[in-house]
Amino acid sequence: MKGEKRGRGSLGAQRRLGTPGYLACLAFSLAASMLAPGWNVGVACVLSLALALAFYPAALRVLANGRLWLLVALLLAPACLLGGPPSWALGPLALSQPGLATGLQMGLRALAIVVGVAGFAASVPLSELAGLLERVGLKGLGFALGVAMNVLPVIHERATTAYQALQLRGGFRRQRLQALRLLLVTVVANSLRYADDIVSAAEARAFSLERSRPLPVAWRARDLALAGLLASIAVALAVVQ
Amino acid sequence: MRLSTRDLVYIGVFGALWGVVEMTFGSLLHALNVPFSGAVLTGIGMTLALIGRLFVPKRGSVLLIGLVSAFLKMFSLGSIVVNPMIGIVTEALLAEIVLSAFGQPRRLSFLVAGMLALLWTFAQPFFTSGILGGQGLATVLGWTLQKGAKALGMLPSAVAAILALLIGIHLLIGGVAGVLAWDAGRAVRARLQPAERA
Repeated sequence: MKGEKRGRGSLGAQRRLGTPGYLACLAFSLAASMLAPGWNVGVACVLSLALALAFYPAALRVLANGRLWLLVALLLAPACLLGGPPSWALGPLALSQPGLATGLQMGLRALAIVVGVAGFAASVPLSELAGLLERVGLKGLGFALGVAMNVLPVIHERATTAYQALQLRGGFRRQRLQALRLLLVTVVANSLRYADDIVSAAEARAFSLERSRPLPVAWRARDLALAGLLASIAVALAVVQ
Repeated sequence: MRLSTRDLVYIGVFGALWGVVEMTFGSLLHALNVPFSGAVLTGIGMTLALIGRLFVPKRGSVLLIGLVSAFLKMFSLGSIVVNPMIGIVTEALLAEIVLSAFGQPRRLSFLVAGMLALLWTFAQPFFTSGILGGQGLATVLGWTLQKGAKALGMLPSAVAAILALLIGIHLLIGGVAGVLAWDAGRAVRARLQPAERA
């Protein structure tokens, strides 16, 4: 496809941007919501949601998460009640107008950030994130991340087995702290034994950090244009009152 | 900082261990509404990261373990992960600063690193909600006092006592995490040594 370069491991046709484009969207959501003064944060939130709708609609599923709205309510309620001189009475409660404004701005900020982070996590494969980190100087972190992703289910399974074995032998009936320490030692020792197998496998394949190439990152021609546009909007939102 | 393949694999494994704790225990502790669940979770994670330092005794290893864990947390979909990510990375950074300042791993450096990392758990709401979120430090202090008074069974008016107790509990959990990491790490090494010799 003209104007498009893709690395191995990309999500392919369902991705509307390359990894740098998604990174630009994440950076915009974070920067605009943090830097925008007053009600400019509303514009930042609307733009973050519009980006999600356009490029990573799966992230909008986070809006169905009850805990998100609980978080927003937790930001809103104290600000309404304690955020300034009372303006209205709602039964026994005295509500503050400046407090309500501050609370709403906090809620909008939280929404923009959560949708931005969820969108990035839903759109960019971990291998590409690892490749991106390696390109910005964190060489080896990509490999460590890959190892972590692969060992996660193994560690979980072995930890569960160790816990159940200890429990079946009555390990947690007496001296619970001692049993917890034993569980910790067992889980870590088992994980390191497994890690040694990975090291042997990597060395058998002649893997070396110096010779390894960074993992490929998919990018598209429109990523750069979008990044420039979003950076300009973020600066405008931060500066214009 | 020059890391070998073994170092990187160990960093990945310790990051995954911390990630497993965050993804499993984290949900459980919050669901059970255990007091100081954040501090307990950080204590367990910090214990693992500090054990990792014993096996990768190089500058930056704890920070890298924290970064791996934070990225794993970010990719655990369906949850709101911004605050825990900031927490994990900052705690790992603080522990790394202490460990690097002390040089060779020592019980005292582990103790101080654990305590400082846990102190961040207490301070984080002031930074994220108070400063970044714009709620103001006084508002966050009010929430902290109310929550602390409820957890400790005290009156919210006893400001100094609540704050001292909260800070003390966090430091205690951090200290326990540091000492436990030192002892458990050496026990793991002793357990693995016969296999290494063979």
